[in-house]
Amino acid sequence: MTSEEFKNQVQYKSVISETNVIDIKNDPLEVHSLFDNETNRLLAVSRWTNTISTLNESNENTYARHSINKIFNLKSSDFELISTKCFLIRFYNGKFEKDEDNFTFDELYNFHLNIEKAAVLDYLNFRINLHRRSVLNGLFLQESIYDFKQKEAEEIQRSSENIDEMNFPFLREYAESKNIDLKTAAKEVLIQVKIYKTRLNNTEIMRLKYKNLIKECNDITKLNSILSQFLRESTMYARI
Amino acid sequence: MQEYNLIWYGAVDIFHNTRGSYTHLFQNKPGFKYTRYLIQFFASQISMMDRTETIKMPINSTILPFLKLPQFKKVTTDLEELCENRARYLLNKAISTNRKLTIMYSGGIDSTLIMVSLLKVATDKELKDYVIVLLTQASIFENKNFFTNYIIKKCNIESTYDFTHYLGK
Repeated sequence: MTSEEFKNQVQYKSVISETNVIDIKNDPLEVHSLFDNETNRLLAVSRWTNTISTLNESNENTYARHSINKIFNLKSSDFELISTKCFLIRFYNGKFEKDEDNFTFDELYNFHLNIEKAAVLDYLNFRINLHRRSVLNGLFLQESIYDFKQKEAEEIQRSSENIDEMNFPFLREYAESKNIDLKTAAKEVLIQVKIYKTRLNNTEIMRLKYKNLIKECNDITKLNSILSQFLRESTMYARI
Repeated sequence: MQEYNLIWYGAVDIFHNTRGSYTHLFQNKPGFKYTRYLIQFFASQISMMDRTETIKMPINSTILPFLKLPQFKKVTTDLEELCENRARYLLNKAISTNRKLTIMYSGGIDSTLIMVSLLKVATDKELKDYVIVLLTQASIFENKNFFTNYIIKKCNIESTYDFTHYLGK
């Protein structure tokens, strides 16, 4: 049975794997991969370690190879690989070889399921990162500075006695720069910490929820609705 | 907000070009094609309904009772007084039902009007006990002075990103 015959029989329409094509021979980023233990077939490729680890957990008899384009010299390999047809490639004695396109229905189902899952997981990771990147500052040790400020602010909030400014260098400078008192500065810092934490927490809730939904999905036709649910919840319901 | 049973969002998904849910059940109904064009033209996440019911949609549709516009009536009260009365009414309702008013404050003109009205009619104790302001960094930057001079000094502040925990309570 060929891929096209399979797709017609299952009435399955690719979600995003056919548009999310990875050229693993020329991709400048690291490409990670999942293989079948018995046949050494390439089941999925991804730019995300996370995607491959998740698929490895959800599939029996598989093993993961990380950074395959960095470890193996793929440029000299004689094959064209796109993410929609990973399973046409076998890995023997450190070499990738192309195999004939002749599979049973169950094999094809499993191959396509993994490819689609990889594509949906990649998209999920991309969106989660997009949201997390927006709270990144990008400066060296900025996280530590935020941490110091938070600790000082919590201490000021707890303290009912007269506050010695000298004990709170970060908050003292913060308050001075904004022309506010130390208590107000502490309150300002704590609400910023809360905003930061809740935002990150939302991305983590969504990541875990949808990672598990994708991981446990065994019906290829359901992946489309999982992706729709994620988009609906993350954008329309503003969960992240 | 617990799960995916919000009907007013679910309806839009039916018309989505590639990811429509239950589209196959409706796509042959009269007006489906034109409604899809309309939604694609404006934005896929916006559900278009005319609350005055002047503009007719291509499909058979109706406004849910709680979304219908109230009857127009002439009043002589000015906007300031109207806002203050409404703020007092909502505050009294919160107090009598032992609940808290949660304001999703963006720092823009509408939510600032709500906050100003509440600040004018509520005592410091009422603000502390019955009002929660949800905001983000963007809300703070939008109206820095108002945040520094009033909100942070008088109100309980929480993160908007946690808003689902404050709905329906």
